[in-house]
Amino acid sequence: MKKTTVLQVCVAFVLCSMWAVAGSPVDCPGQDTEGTSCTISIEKLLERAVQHAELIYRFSEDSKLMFDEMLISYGMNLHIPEGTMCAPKTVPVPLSKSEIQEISDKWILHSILILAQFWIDPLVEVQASLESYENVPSALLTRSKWISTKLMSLEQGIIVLIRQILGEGSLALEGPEQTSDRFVSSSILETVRRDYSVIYCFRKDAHKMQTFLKLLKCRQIDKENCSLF
Amino acid sequence: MWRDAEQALTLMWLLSWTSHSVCHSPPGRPRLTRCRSPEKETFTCWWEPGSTGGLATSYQLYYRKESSLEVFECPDYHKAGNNSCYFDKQHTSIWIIYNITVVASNALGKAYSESVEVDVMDIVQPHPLETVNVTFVQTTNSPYFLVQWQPPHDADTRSGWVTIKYEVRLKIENSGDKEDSSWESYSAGEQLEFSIYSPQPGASYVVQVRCKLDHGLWSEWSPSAFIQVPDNMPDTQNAVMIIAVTLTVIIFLLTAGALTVKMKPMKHFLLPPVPEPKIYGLDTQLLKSGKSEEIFSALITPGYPQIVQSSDRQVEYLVVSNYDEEMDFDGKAHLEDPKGENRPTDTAQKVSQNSIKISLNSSQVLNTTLSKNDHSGTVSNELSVLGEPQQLLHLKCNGSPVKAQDQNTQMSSSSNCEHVSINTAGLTEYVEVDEDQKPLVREDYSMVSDIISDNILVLQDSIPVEGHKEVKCDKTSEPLGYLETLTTFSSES
Repeated sequence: MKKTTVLQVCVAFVLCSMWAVAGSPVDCPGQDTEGTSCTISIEKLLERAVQHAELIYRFSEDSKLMFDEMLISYGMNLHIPEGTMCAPKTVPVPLSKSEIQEISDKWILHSILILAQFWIDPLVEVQASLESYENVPSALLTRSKWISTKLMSLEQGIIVLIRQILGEGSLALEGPEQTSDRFVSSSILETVRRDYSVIYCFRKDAHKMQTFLKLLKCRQIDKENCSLF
Repeated sequence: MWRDAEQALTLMWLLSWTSHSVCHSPPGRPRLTRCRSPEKETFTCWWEPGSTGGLATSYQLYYRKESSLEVFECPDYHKAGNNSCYFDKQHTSIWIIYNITVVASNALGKAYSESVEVDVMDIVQPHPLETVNVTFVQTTNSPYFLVQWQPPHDADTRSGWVTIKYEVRLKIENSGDKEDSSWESYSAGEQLEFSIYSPQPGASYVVQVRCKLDHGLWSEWSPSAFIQVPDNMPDTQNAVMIIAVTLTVIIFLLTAGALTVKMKPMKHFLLPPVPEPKIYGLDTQLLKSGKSEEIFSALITPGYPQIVQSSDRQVEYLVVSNYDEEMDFDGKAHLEDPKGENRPTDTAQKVSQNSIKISLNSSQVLNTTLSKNDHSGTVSNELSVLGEPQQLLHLKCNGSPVKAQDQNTQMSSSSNCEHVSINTAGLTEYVEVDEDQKPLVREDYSMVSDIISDNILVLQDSIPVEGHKEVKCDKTSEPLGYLETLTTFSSES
């Protein structure tokens, strides 16, 4: 009786150990805390967002220059007077240092999100339209494609940041429905003009996004000395 | 009965235990081995299956995005091979952490792996480099290896999205019995080639390269590249060196020999003597002996400059007279008083006008100061002569009570002397003229009785002049070469 009991206990023990389904707590990468779910730290997110915005701005500058060269090679000369071709946005630009200090993180994040969401569609259209040009430099095509993908990625990042910093729930991913003037090109000149204006105006907004993100990063990380100007 | 039951139970346990490994059973737990992102835009995860349990087992990978509860399945199981899951660009986000689980399932059950949290930026590891070329470059004095490679495919290094860093390592490959030397690593930055200098001649090297993106993980080492350094030509270099050294030694010996041998022409040829300065007329021996007058006398060539030697002339300008028959002069005074005091006439003084005119042949201007001091009835006029050192000033006196005293020179005049010479050795001299007499000519020229030539006035003198004083007079043998002196004294007689 004793022997068999001991034997059964041993066998049961062996069998059970094979079927052990133990749920161990999850280690978060790069963090010491163990939790049920991990999130990337805000500093890291901001760093990545700033890097995105810087690259997007730089590429938009390059795109504009390449577009200019292409226009020159076509013999066209589009003079864009300042401020007339870019559509007015819902995002006012703070003009003075004191204004900048007054704006809140919430305002910054929402502004960047609005800007990013606004430009995604036009950039996709421009990229499609560029492919139909003659003698378009391939670098311009790759650049514009890169910009649209990274801009979408940045938009995702801003949403995550809003969730982390502001604690707001997931926002509706569809941006404001804009009356997209899907225009069927009446003339080549009009198409070119429209494409150029998209690139030109996006460049300005890319710079705005970059600046706002840098400001936000500065505020989050180093709260005391934050002055951009 | 109990025994039978126990035995049956034991048998059943044993059977189930053995059937666990041999017969069909639910699958064992898989395990996620690693996840990698080669370019920060996509990533792949691999797992290791557990035991299959004898039945056909399928694996699924599920993931969750951060804190949301929605579960997604792997988008691509095949691109990266067996037991892998590939996340393409649309499914890769650098903003969130993925919570990944692999499930193994068969007919009998399921097994869940441990969950792994993945942050895409933390698992960045580029593909290993595929081609590495090494060439041996033979320049004249410094041979080197040139290692070249291509960037890893997929990585978008040119846009700035990632910054890539390379590392090169090499070691000597010893085919013999010696133990392998250790690797030497060099950081190559972002460039696609690298030079390694001073290879050992005759050795055979192994070279490898690897890369890293941002702060991610190093890639695997590239396939090795081999290179053999030829045993080359230090010989020609050595020969040149030896010849050069020998030539230098020979030249040195020749020069030393030539110098030690006291052959004057040879010595002069090798070390020409420094030419000494030669001034015509100046004998350096005289300089050494130290007699200054003789030296300068040698400098003076006859005929230069024009010297007024006649003493008569000089007498003309010196008015010293105690007696009636003596003539009184009244000379003009050319005084350049540096102090701005010009005292051409002073009727209160005995000496009406003491004029001294000294001119030099050279361009030097003699500044003469004439100051009058009243010393108990005597008038002493100091004449300081500034300018070039005058060695000799000739003044002639004619029995005048003029006593000239010179600080630096010896100058005196006597009534009878014919020469009043001033030997000057310094820059300034004072010619002190003592006069007892009253000035001869007052403002009105009523006493003038006669005029001889243009600088001699004959005055009528009714007042006897006090006895003359003895004045010494030095005759100097040689006149001054470059100095012409015209001195006029007027005194009251």
